[in-house]
Amino acid sequence: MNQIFNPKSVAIIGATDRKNSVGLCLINNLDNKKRDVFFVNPTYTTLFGRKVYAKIQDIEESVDLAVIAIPKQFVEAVVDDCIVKKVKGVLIISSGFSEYDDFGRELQERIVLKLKESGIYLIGPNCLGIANPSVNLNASFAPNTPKKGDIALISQSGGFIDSVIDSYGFSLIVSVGNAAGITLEEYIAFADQDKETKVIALYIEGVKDGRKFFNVLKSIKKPVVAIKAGKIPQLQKAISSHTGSLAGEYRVFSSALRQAGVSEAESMEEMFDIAKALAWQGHCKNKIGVVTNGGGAGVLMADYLYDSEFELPKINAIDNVRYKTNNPLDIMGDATTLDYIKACESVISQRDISALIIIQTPQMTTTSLDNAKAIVEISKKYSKSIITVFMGNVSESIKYLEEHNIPNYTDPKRVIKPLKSLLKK
Amino acid sequence: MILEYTKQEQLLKKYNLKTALSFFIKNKKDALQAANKIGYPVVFKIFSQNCLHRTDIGGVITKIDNSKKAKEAFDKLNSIKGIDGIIVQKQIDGLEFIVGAKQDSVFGPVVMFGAGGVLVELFNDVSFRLAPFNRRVALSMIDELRSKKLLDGFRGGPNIKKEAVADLLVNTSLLASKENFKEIDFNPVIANEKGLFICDVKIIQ
Repeated sequence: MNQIFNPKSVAIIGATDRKNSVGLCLINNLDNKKRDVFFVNPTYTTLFGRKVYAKIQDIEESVDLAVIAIPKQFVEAVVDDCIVKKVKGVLIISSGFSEYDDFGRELQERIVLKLKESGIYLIGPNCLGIANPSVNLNASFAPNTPKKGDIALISQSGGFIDSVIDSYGFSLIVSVGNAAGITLEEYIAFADQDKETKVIALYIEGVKDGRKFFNVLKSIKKPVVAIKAGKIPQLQKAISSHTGSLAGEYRVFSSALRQAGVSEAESMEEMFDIAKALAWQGHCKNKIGVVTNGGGAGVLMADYLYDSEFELPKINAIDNVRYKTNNPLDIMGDATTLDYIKACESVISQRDISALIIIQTPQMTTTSLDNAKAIVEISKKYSKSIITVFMGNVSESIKYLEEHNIPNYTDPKRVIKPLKSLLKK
Repeated sequence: MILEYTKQEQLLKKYNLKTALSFFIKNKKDALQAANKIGYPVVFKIFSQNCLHRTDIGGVITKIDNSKKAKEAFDKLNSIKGIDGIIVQKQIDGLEFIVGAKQDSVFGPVVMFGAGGVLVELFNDVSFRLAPFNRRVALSMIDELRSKKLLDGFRGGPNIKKEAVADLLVNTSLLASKENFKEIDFNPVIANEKGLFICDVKIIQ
């Protein structure tokens, strides 16, 4: 599959200069001089001053990946051409297959069989495409090209990818579409092997084979966060036991995720909140230290931690300070960067504390970027988990923290689910 | 349809699932003998492969503490049409749980654990795991319940060994993953200081 996610050459079948078309969007996303890109379309001879091939077989060089974005009635013939050309993989963006009607289903089954017999990988059909930012591949018609990062996003919705693609950094993006060739489980296993990937994020509506899905999630090494859509109960068939009436489809799905060690997110924001904690911080236990320069935020943080059965161990006395040593440790509103360093070092080095939450409310004397830099230095010295809650208009500091793998949340409440996910990492 | 009484018994035995001491009888003489053997108080309940909700038709009589009441109870239950026989069972008091299993359309056999007897459907305080699973997973199932405190002798209640509950769940998960069934209810499972007893079995095929 490596050759599909890092192809030396790509053919765009359905390349066009028509405005707002998938074909043009693919050209814009793919044609970045990092690899050979060929245009295929029988109705053009040139596009943007480049040669357009009528058929993929007309290309003299070898082609690793063929991206197909043409009306479905022409797809089968083009797949035949790809087989003749001996491409390594076919990515079918076109829709109208098993997701649409019986005719589409039969067409899809024929295509799958042909490609299987020829040993050619199939991505899709009916998908947005794939991206592998670390090798500058964006074989999708997404509106943006994603930044490099460490999250592998595997999604059963293309629109879901579109909506987050410019907000986070990714190691891989896969829109699985109908997953008729490469299956959801195979993508997950591939992401587990991918060097850049530190966490796997899944958007799931449903799975074909629950056991296969469960078994792959259980067997992989990297942490997984998933969001499950489609929770409204289906019309229940005749149910004759208590167990039957209590075991809704979603309840069982959610339990299977939990049993496989997957963190389940309830919102898109929460999904990426959890993902960045899992990607950047290690496993921790439920004993937490909190350092804050704002009393209120500290108390809220303590409340949320208490509600979720986290413990706040006693803080050892710190010499020569003007504040009381409690947990949360309130180092006062006028805390300087030196105050932060002294408090954070003292708390994090305590043996019975497994993770440190550092809260910063923006006050008159707060030197936010200096604090961020100091926290990054502390994180290098200690192997324990660090999470920050920098609030207010301090985007530069937050950027600095996150560039150095310290996850920041702008509300104490948002710390809880990510922190919980670290417990089972 | 519910599996025959004797077949249910065999299945439970095969997977080391302990039921409350009970006898399946068809006449009054045997009913009284069974009650004597078990020792009063006892429970009488009808068994019919077609009857899913026997309390709804008055098919369960509890706290029978002498032979006169036992005779009356037998006559009353025996008059219900279409029954296969009557179960005479030791009256057991303690905390009530539900253990169940079903075939999920996506994931296959799953096991459910819940606390709360008749209120289980109201509070929806249940947990699920795909079968089969080990003791560690079973313990996490118990831990997931909001009402897990009940097991620790809540307000003077009995102290229940979590390991014993976990073993029951593990054995149920083995049954669920190896045998043919549609749905299973062990409801209630009653727990007290003496142990854990499945008091009612419904294996639907």
